[in-house]
Amino acid sequence: MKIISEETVSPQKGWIGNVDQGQILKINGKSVIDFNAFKRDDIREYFDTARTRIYNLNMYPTAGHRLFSKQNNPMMKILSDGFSGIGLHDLQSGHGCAEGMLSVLSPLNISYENLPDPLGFFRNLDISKNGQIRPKPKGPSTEVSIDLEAEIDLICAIMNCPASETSASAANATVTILRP
Amino acid sequence: MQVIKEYIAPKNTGWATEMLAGQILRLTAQTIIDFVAFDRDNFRESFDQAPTKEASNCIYLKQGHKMLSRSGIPLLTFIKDEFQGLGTHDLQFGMCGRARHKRAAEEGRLGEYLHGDEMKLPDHGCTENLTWALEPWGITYENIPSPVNFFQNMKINQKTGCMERTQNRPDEPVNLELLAERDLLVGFSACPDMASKTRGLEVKATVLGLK
Repeated sequence: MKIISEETVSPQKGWIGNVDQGQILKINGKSVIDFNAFKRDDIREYFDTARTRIYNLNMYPTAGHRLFSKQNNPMMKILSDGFSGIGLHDLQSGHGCAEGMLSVLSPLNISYENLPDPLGFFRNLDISKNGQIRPKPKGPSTEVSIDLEAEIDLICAIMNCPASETSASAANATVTILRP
Repeated sequence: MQVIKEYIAPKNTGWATEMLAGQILRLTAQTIIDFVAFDRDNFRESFDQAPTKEASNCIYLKQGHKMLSRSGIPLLTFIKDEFQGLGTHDLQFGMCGRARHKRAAEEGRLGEYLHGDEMKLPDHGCTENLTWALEPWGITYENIPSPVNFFQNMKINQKTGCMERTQNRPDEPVNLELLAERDLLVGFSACPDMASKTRGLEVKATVLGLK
């Protein structure tokens, strides 16, 4: 694997960048990280939590799952999930730091009303049988990585959002883009 | 309260209407309904699953819960749920439709539905029904939010997160009532409901208010 780029993202900061088809986005961290992705050729097509849940028939995204757009097209594949067995990623909540993500996305000129709901990495939730959601402040104790392969050319963005009540720790995140 | 308007949506069709704050929308059905709402004065303030779930701390829409817009404005309150105790309303799924049916067929996943791999797919679904219903207001697919799927009863494994469609629907039409918290545009699709025994039925909508 060849490293194309690597960047450290401190707490309360975000990152935006291109990920080409076939490249791998590695997100390394331990605090809650909100994630959005857009099709580069037409940002009106974006990663959508509901379509992703349907296609995987699962509430919790993990290795082997794919991320889908609202137009029902595959965008990314989760190749590995270092949080697996420790906790669960979140596809239920909105943004923990919406203003922060909007500022990260400012090159795309996206307004609050058009900000798609995120995938919340490490936002561990406890969902009971009757559907009650309880935050479970249990992130990974050491940094772990999630690898996502782009299935089309994308613009991806993250917000390192440890202020969220469900997050146990504020820590740097690292975003690496790799080429096989 | 008096009947302001009434409409029966045949199966696999949609309908949209404006309603005023304080009015009640009654949906009478025994089939899946994909339902969305918009602030009438700002269509970009549309219903959003995530803030709705965050406000109620619940992954299902239950009686007493509010349906919120993307920026957290209450659009409707779910004041009456005659499906309560029988099944749950879904806030996980998007909408069925041409693109989704096509992908399910391509991926060999029609077996997940009751009618299986041999089923004849409808040429449209909730995506198209809602797009057509909302077209007069200039709302396009990109701006139609993921809906609340009334009567879409799912079996969810809390540990693994795995979701499975069920055929649990009301045996006869029951009422759901939603109180408008502000002036709204609301729209719904009477889903072709491929997971059910009936494969979709009509939905009756009644707007109630003071004349």
